[in-house]
Amino acid sequence: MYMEGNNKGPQIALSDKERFPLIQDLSLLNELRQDHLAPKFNFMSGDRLTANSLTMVENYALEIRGKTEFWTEGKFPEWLGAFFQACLINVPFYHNRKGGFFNQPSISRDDIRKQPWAFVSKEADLNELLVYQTSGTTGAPLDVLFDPVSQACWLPQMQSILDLYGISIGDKARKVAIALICSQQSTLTYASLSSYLRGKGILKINLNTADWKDATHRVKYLEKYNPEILTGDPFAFMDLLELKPQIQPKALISSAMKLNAGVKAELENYFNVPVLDVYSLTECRNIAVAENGRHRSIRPDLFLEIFHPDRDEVLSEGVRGELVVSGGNNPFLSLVRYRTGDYCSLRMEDGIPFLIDLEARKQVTFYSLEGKLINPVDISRRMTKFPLAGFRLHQEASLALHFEAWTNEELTETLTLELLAIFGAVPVKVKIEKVGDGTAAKIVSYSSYFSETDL
Amino acid sequence: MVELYTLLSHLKGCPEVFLEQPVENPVSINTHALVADCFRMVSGDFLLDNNAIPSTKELNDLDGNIIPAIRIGCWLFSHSIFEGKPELLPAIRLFMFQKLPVLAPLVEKMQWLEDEDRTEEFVRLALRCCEILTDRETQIQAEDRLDALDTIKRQKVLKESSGAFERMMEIRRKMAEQKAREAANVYGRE
Repeated sequence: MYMEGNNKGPQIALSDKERFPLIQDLSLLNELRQDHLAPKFNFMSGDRLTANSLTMVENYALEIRGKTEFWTEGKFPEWLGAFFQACLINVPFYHNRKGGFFNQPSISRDDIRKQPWAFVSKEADLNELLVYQTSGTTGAPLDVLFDPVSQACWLPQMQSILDLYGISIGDKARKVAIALICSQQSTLTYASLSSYLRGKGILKINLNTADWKDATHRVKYLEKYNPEILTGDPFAFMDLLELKPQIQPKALISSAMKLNAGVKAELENYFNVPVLDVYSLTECRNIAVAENGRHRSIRPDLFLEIFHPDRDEVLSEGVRGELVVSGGNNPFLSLVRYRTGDYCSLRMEDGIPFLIDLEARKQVTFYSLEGKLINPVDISRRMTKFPLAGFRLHQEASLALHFEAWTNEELTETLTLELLAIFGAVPVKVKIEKVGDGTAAKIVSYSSYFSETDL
Repeated sequence: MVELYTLLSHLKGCPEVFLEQPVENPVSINTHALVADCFRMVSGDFLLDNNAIPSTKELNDLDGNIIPAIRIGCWLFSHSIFEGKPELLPAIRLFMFQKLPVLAPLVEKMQWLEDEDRTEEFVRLALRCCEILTDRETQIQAEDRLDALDTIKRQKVLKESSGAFERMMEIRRKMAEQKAREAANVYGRE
């Protein structure tokens, strides 16, 4: 979840030539941007892929698509030893580590938050460095460093999921391959293209009527371009469902928070296509896809282990604990035993790891006084303008809010007003805690009486 | 029995005239004369053949900043424990003409005499070339101690830390720059 649309957000800074080094014909881009039904796009974006980096993405696709065995039970992937040795040599955070991979301690989100530069490989070209600032909806805000290649590799990762369902992208009759559907108070929106998908259109749109010249254009624009794949989170898909667009996506990919069975069923009934619940993290992109009540790993380049929640002890297969990941393909964030903060047990089946009973980021539901759903992303985004070391928000059945914030400034009234602006005139109780030396990590946590009970 | 501390003390007592460069002071002792005297004393043969002594050309071929270290070496080997031991000549040649040329550019000449660690490194390196162990030390202990004093390693670490620091600052600068700019397409929520 990216911090967008605030005064610290990114600015448009490139030319289309820099956004799309490999695409000469930008007529589709202009069409998508200038269509009379188009939203009031507020941003621009490209894939930034050069010929060399496109080859890297294509090689990555060859590597992960159709891989039938990731590693054998009780063993580990062949690439792991070389990956770890490369980390010891090239990644400052691991320089003084002793012993082999299996002697290594785990690392946490806080390690990355405190010194993201320490995870950058010496071999990474800093001219390729890109930054996303996460909003901290599922934890403390985090700067995630990456490059155009690891970003574009989202596409082959998605294809490897679609391969499981026999779905391919690339209909000649359709101009737009992917539409990322958002439903937020504000977010960056743009029309773009993908070199990897042979120049197909990519859309990031916000269903909020304020983003459109006419509210009816939301459906008309989608119907006109009929994207092959829709991506988004359950909030956005629920709002899309209400609009009843006459579109024929080949699949819906839901991520960022858990997709409830009820919402999934409704979406599947309406669109009559697979609705895939993907487990992903900004730190390492897509990890697994829900399949028959469990999650199938889709990343042969990510080694998965289960650790004891409180100590660095690897748990046996079938024992529940915290999911820990190593590997990936981002030279700007080399992960060796990274604790995801999510819980499950692991089971190997024919060389593929499955996550059992994954308890990932919970979908936390808030309601405004008028009964409107509030997305925690919007709350996080609005809170970033205040000097908070962290905060907790809980909503009771009465809609009353309890907001606890860590800050050394007196912000009780300001924060109360901000919450009232979001939620309407619900009862608000704000408690300020001083940030002392003992304050460890930034805390951002949401809980609600309504979570996962009535969606 | 060779007492390390005797040699350390001896080295620190190097006369000033050994530290002067003939170019700086024309009346200073000629470096080739010092080297020749050193080799003759160690060999115990004051009629030692000139071919067994490093030539003026060999000295002239060395970088100027290495000469002071060689002159200090001549003082070290003037200690009586090296006298009359012709078997040490190849080792002394190795020390003066192969080891010191690597170290000398990294150490200011007075540090060999005034910095305890550099004095010890100088003496220990000379002893290792000569395969002489000091009192009560095993070879492993001597190697460990010399390793701990190693200027080359120290410089490498310093260079690496300095390189790492510069890299970190560069990443931080780029991060600040890139945070304010558009990144690349986002395809799904995370």
